[in-house]
Amino acid sequence: MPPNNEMVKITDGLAPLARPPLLLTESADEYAALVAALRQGIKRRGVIAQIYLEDMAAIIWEIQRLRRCKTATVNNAFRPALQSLLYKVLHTQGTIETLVDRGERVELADGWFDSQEGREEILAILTRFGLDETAIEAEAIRLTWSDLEMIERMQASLRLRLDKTLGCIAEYGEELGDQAREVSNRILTNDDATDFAADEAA
Amino acid sequence: MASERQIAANRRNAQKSTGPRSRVGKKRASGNAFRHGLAVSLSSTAFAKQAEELARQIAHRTADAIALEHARTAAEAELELRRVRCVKVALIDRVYAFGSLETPTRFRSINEELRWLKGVGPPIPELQDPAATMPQQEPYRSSEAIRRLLPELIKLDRYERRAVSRRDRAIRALAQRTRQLIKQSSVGDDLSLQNEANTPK
Repeated sequence: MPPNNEMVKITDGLAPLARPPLLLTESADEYAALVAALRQGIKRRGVIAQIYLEDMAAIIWEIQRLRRCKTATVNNAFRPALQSLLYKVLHTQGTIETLVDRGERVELADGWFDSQEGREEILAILTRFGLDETAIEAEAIRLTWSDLEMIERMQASLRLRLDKTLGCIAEYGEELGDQAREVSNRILTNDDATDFAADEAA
Repeated sequence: MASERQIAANRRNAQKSTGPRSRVGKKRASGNAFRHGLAVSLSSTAFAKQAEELARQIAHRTADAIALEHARTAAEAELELRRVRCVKVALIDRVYAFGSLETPTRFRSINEELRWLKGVGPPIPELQDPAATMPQQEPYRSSEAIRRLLPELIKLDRYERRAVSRRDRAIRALAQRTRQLIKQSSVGDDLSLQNEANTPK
């Protein structure tokens, strides 16, 4: 994603405070494309329709941001998860790990990310205990459980707000509400499919 | 877990406390509840001007005072919502850059620092830089920034929800008022037509 150095003015006719809620690393062009897609789907003009449209764009953008964050959080936890798993499988209960043992374990875990041999060595250890790669992912999820829960709570809150916004748009004009629901569903479903494809490819 | 006796002792000791005594301590305690100042509604001239401008656009040429008031409430809530979103983004960007909202310190308390200055404390601890543990690549770095900020983001979400509710309520009230005005004006038009018809030529 290209860095968002200059904020583009996306909201025509709205107050000057209206600028896209983007992080420094997020692309203003991608946000503009999202707003354009919503605008294309919702034909009605007017300031109130525009406010709701902006709201929908901001909510959908944040849902997507949190979705990326969830995946990255689990991925970021892979290294500590691997170290923790290796500790469990390499140390019988009650024994105390020496500093040398700890250093070796950390080095072994680093090998997973550094070379194919390191990866195979760890897989061989895990296989001895009837485990495979899934065990690392499970441990990563376990380690980040409380964070994932908070992210999911925020996503649920955003989805609820998106529904409420759609409800408000529907109140404002039934036809407009239907258009808005269809467009937002299309964007989020496409996004789900893209994420799924990316996960599969990974 | 504290025992019954410990809990009772803590309560007794807490009764003896009269809060901070020094001027610095009092000043510090006065900011205990302050986190981001979002609960304070903005009253700057620039904000008022923007709110008025947006309210006029929302009210759409209406001169009716009640409708304008609803439009003002909606405009203010909308601007506050945007402000919360800006704050959220700014906080995430800060953690992205520095790894934490707090400035890293070597000491856990002022007393620990004083003890060290007097030379009776332990040797100076190493500075823990939160940015050092941040991933370097995207999207991992920004995701880590969001993760570190999750408790704050959940609090900000509450402010956002509140502003959204206020805005939506005001827009609903404005729509209702507009319908009333249209009804009144159409009744007025009907009456004037009837009057015209009844007027002898």
